[in-house]
Amino acid sequence: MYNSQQIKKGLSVRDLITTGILAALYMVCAMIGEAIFGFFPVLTFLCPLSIALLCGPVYMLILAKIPKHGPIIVTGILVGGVLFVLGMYWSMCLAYCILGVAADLLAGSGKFRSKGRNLVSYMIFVISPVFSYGMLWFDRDSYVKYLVEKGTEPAYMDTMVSTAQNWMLPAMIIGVLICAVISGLLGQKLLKKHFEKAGIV
Amino acid sequence: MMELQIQTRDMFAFLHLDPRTKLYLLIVGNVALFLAPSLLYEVVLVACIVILGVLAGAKRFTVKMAIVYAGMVVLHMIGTCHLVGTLQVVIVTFTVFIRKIFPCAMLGGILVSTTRVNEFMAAMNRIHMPKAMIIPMTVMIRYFPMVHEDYCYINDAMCMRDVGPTFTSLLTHPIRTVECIYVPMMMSALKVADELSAAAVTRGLENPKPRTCIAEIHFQITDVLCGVLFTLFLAGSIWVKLKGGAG
Amino acid sequence: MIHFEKVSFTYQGVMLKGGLHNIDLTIQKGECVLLCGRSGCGKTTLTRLVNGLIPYFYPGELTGATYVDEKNIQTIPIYEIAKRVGSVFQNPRTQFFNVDTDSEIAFGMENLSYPKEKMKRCIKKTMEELGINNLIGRSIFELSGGEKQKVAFASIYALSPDVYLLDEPSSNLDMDAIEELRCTLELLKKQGKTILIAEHRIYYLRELADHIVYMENGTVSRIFSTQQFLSLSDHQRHKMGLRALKLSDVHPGILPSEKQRPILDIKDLSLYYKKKLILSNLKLKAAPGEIVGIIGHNGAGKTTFSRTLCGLHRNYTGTISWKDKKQNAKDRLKRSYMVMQDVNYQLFAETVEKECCFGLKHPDLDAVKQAMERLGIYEYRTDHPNTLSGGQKQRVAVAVSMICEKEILIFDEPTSGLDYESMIRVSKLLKTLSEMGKVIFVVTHDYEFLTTACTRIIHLDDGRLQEDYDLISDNLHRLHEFFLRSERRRSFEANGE
Repeated sequence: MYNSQQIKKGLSVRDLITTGILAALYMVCAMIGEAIFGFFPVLTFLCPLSIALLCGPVYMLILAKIPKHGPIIVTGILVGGVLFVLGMYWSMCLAYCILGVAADLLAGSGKFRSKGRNLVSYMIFVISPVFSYGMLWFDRDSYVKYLVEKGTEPAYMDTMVSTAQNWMLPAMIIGVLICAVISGLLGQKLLKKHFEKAGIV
Repeated sequence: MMELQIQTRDMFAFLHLDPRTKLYLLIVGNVALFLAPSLLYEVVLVACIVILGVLAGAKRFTVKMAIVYAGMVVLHMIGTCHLVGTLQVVIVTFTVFIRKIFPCAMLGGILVSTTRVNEFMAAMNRIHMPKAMIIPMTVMIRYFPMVHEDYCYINDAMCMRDVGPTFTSLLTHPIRTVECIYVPMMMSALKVADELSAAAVTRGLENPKPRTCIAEIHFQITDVLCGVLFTLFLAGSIWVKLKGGAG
Repeated sequence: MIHFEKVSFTYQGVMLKGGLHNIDLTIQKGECVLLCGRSGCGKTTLTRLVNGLIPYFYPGELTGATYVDEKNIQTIPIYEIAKRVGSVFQNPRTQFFNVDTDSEIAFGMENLSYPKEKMKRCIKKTMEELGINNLIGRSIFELSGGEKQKVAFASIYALSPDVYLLDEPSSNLDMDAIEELRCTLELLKKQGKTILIAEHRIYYLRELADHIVYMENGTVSRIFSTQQFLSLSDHQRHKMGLRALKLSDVHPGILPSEKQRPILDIKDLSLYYKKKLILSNLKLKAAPGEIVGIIGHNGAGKTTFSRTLCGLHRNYTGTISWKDKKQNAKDRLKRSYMVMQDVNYQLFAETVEKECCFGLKHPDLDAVKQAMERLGIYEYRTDHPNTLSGGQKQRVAVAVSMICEKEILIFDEPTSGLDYESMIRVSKLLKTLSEMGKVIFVVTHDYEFLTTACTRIIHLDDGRLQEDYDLISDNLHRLHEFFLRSERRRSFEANGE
């Protein structure tokens, strides 16, 4: 974490305030993504995709406006923290913090100016929401055991659950990555078209 | 100094917890739910949360959530006992999943709706959160409603140009519609960031000395009671889990 | 107290205008100094030198030195400056750091690590002295612009700095809030504080300012005493690009009022906001070429009315017809256009030219070119709209409305933060549009602008249409009645003494 002396060297108050505001924007995009599919039983698994699709431009703006180490970590912790306080599942919140650090380091390796690395950094960061479904995989045994106890035929149960699980996790991650690429590229295009031309970043 | 104290949102709240306690309850509640050994245990925990919510003053929200939760439990029962095949798996998977998340959301909602922002920030200060987190967090909370205001203006402007963000325009001109929303929104955000920074910096936010804080927070006996209750719950679930594992 | 010694400054980058050349200026303790001049003359830049935002926040090339209390500002850190110099900015919406008023007022003190007891004492004192006890413990999102400005002021006042800097504090305020601002400034002056104000609307400061510094192209061109300044003729003042000094001296230009047949007919219009009645039983007819000024206090429903007229607000009863044909919200949306107070929200494209064709399936390129030429923005056609000045952005928005052949135009506070010449340009623009036969509505708090631009006034207050009259010399007293109340009350008091 940053103590006050490092703030002086690294992030100024202006950077922190900009981070806060853009993090709020990111958060709003993520919540809208969540709201699109969040309330339907099966479609809830599409949430990470819609989140990945919506947040790219804001993420790219954070990197372009504050090309330093820190803002992405702060964004990760803030978004994760607020989601936790709002009652989201803890594994997702933890993922935001950890992947935030990873994404920050990756984007930093390209001095925050490399388009490719920024894109990959976004792809890493935006996988976080997938983790809220992690429980279904982590806790699989007890889950299956539980269903079997309730009288489901074990053989049927096994095939059903394992096919669903083997198939769904990779599908979800691939879907998220594809959405992230689309959204990230769109974000970079918008930055070039508007913000660079207007001399803002 | 009475007039300086800020009233809580609901005057009829019996229970006024310190934000730090609420945060603690949230963490403990999350872990306890994760480890919950049985449906009964979960329901008891949720009942505790409901009582907490009602006492803390978030009555309407709590009751609504409690009803939805009860619906989930009933759906789950029906799913396990009376359905077969794919439908059962789908329903049960969904309800198990939601049941794990829902009480957390309830606890979070209670926490958010009964805490004032300045109290929360004071709590963050008190637990020595670094400035690099406190500043963005304050700004973030402050900026949320402005995102909505901005969106209203942008929506108006788009409608007048006949490029309004409707479902059809999202299908026929997805990029243009998205661009129209994102670009003014992000431009406005950057402008606000600059002006807000200027206003904050000229009021000495860069002072390296530790900040003081006007809002007062104290622990009370009720904080201790709630904390102990939830801790016992957690201990109970761990104990049952261990015992279950051993036997 | 404040001393500028051969200060020159150029902003980094090409975007920012308003550099300074060789400024030498001394401001004594306890003086109230008004900085005025055209937009971009460097008056804001001068205030930024005193509060240390230059060079810390706005990088650029700086020579010379600025002293406050014999101390060179550039050698002390900005949080030390905060103890001596307090700054109030233009936009109350973006000055708030916290979400409730108490924390906001305490914000500066918290940063400077005041002990808790002292903070409470200071807050209490501030609230009493500024008379804002009614604002205790409120959320900032329920405050009006004027109230926000007061809280922003209180936050500075609590630190009791010796120097107050105000950068166009009135541009987002209505008449009453400006009057309250004036009272606060009077209080500060009595306390012997040094005040430095950069401002376009200068009428409310004419008895407060000890010196008036007129700036041109980044230099101090003249320094007036109050007496000298007040004796300037209208002609001289207009040549200097300055706004009116006394509102009672502003007279409407006599406008030709050949009335055409009314084309817009509003019958029994009642507006609701979430079931709450905002405005009831409004009846109004308007003819092509009319420029209707809408006045009223905050919360009188001016914005809701204009949004309804555009078809954006749909919670209403009554009928609105155009050429005797009833218009639903969708029809009105096609026919009307609103130029918002913050134009930035309505500019979407990456060049001015593309902006003009934006959203059109088959843009008529000749019409686009013609509109741009007519509004004097053709030379900027390849620039990004965001790089233009406020007035230019406004004209881009108007160009859009011309190309889309909108017939009802609504301007929301088009002159906030504009200098005299830009204001005149806006009023000429309105006249051009009026000659094209558009029906124009202007929501504004700017008396000077109303009298130069409008042909008719409607006054909304207390949930209904209070007055509706043509702006001719016979009716002038009615507009005076509304606007000059505080103004006249003051002059009575002055005469009484």
